[in-house]
Amino acid sequence: MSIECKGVSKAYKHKQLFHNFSGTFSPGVCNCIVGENGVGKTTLLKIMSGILKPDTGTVTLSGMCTYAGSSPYMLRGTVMDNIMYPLTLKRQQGRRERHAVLEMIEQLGLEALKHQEAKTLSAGEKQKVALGRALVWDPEILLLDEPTANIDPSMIENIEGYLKDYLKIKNRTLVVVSHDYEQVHRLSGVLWEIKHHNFDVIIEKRENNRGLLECR
Amino acid sequence: MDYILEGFREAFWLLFSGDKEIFGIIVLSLFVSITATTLAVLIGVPLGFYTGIKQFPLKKLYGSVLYTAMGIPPVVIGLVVAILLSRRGPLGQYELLFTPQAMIIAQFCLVLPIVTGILFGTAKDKGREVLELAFTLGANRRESLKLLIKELNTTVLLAIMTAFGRAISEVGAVMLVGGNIRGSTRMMTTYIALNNSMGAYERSIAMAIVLLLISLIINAITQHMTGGKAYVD
Repeated sequence: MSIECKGVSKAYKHKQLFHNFSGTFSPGVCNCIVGENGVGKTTLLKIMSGILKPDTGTVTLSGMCTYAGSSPYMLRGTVMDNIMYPLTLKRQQGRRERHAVLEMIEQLGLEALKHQEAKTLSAGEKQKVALGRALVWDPEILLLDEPTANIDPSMIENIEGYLKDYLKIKNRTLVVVSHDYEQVHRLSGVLWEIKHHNFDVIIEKRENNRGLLECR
Repeated sequence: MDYILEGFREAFWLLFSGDKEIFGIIVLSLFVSITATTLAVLIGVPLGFYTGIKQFPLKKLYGSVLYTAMGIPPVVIGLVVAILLSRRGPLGQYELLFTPQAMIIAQFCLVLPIVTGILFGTAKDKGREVLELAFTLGANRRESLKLLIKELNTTVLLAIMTAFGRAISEVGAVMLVGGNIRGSTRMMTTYIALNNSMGAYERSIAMAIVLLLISLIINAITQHMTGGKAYVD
């Protein structure tokens, strides 16, 4: 249930991003990717998910993987329809699954909106729906791009709790792109910092992010 | 003012008395435009989807050409098709000029860029997002395509209705390739143009009422099918 990157490089037309990156994202801990804007965090996440192809190198996923972006696309239909969609694909629409969806909707604070058209929701509400949609089919690998960026502080705690359970109880692999170092600390994970170094972009792994918190 | 009112009175009488010529023209116009639109939809919808989603060299240029083609004057298309189908033209051997088939070809050429262009624009903007979402939620190729069609079905409907509206209402192309021959290639629009030039306003008004009714019916169907929502989200 891990992600293994071997010699992964990516460049856009006028911009070189990370070069020859290798690393293993292990299950059971929160793998947090941090870095300045435009350094390639989302690109790395999309490469891991298979949406983007790396210029060189390989990414090996051992398990079913899902990705939720920072400005997620809402399907036509209600909040319920959106969260049910992955289960519809797997033909799991029984009473038990519906109950699980309703439970998730409640945990995400979306019960009042469950019959509302998903396209009419606010950015934060859409993010919650995307999170529910990603978690509902219980993938082994979860890739989240700034999952709580637009969400109100009172709800962030709930979501972090849900993610911790996802990690600890189910021992899944979680990779989160975040700007919030406090959140990285709360999720007590492994930190992957993408930064510029000698006109190059490097990715550094830190097992203990406390030092990083203190110096910022 | 009187002749206008007289025109309307005569027009209603013509329509309700079941004038054979008028009904023949209506049937032919609907047949030509529906056939041309259907063919354009069968080719244009998948082509628009595919080219909108796919990344390929010169895609921007392709888009520019396509959007330009959406606005080509019908008379230019009529001229090109007439040259191609004329006796000395490359397709002259098939003797299609001044037949309903020629009008179908001309209308098809007119509406194909419209259908393709509308689908191309939407698929370019939204198609990738939908397919990426389907992919990340574990959908296979068939399920992804199904989701894409479901998400963009109002755009497909918009493309069909726009294409049919354009086909049924154009006059230049069918006039050039059809020749406005009575009982053979006379369409609603060419009939209006002809009677207007002859001063037979009641016949022009009668046909204009039918065209307006068709327009209203198309809109009503579209509204019903989209549940009164906007065509494109």
